[in-house]
Amino acid sequence: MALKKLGSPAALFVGAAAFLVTGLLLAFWYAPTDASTMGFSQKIFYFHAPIAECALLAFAVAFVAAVQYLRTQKSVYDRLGYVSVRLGLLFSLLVMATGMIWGKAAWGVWWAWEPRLTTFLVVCLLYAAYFVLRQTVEDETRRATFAAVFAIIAFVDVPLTFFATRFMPAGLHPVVFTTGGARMEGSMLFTFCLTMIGMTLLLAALLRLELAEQALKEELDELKIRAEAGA
Amino acid sequence: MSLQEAVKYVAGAYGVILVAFFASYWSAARRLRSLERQVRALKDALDKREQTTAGGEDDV
Repeated sequence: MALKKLGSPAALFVGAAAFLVTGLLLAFWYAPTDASTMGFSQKIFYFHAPIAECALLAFAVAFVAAVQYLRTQKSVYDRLGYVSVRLGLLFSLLVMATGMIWGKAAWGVWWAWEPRLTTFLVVCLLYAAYFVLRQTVEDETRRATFAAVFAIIAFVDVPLTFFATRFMPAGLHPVVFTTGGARMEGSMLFTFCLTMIGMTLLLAALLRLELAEQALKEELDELKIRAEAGA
Repeated sequence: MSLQEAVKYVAGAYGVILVAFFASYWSAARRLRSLERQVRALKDALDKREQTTAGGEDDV
């Protein structure tokens, strides 16, 4: 699979750590403090936004894996979809947590029912339901098929979340990236790009690790069946 | 908001991120190692059993 060509989980993790640590240092000692009302709390942006992008990327991977599973019925795509949703949900929960902290610091509230936050919450709830669905179906093939169909339907909310601030600009979230370019200083953009690369590498490292775990679980189950058959 | 207060929120956010990612990578790596051990042990046991069975058949 294409993920294997990226390198081992350990190499990806080291790469991610290098980019993220550099990005973290630059965020505090190179990028200027935001001149708007956000002030120092804007420093959260350098990790918060890449985590959000990676959460949506993980759900996009799950969507592609779901389509591929329905086309080919290969269990490897079911495994990829499962781990992608799992990691997407982890990243989403982190976005919610860091977003709430940032919201309290910048706007004085932990939560606001504005378009971006609300659509992201819906994404979290939808993908949490994905696991409930998987738990309720016992037959492996049916479970994989239902999960794939659900992942495709749930993905409808992902572009809505991404474009929420563009469709409904009245919310609290500012639109940073526009068709005319990024609305931030060059040093801020450079720092953001580093953390974005680091976070994507981290997502790839975690994906590789979790896929290896799922493959080993399958191998272990097969070995157990062999052992029982021969006993 | 004062700088001192903002620093607390920023530190809190980065703390949550670091702990979550470190914990998820560490726990995934630990689960993987444990599974690798189990697979290796089971493979060894099966190989031994197959050798014993083959040896028994040769004796006959």
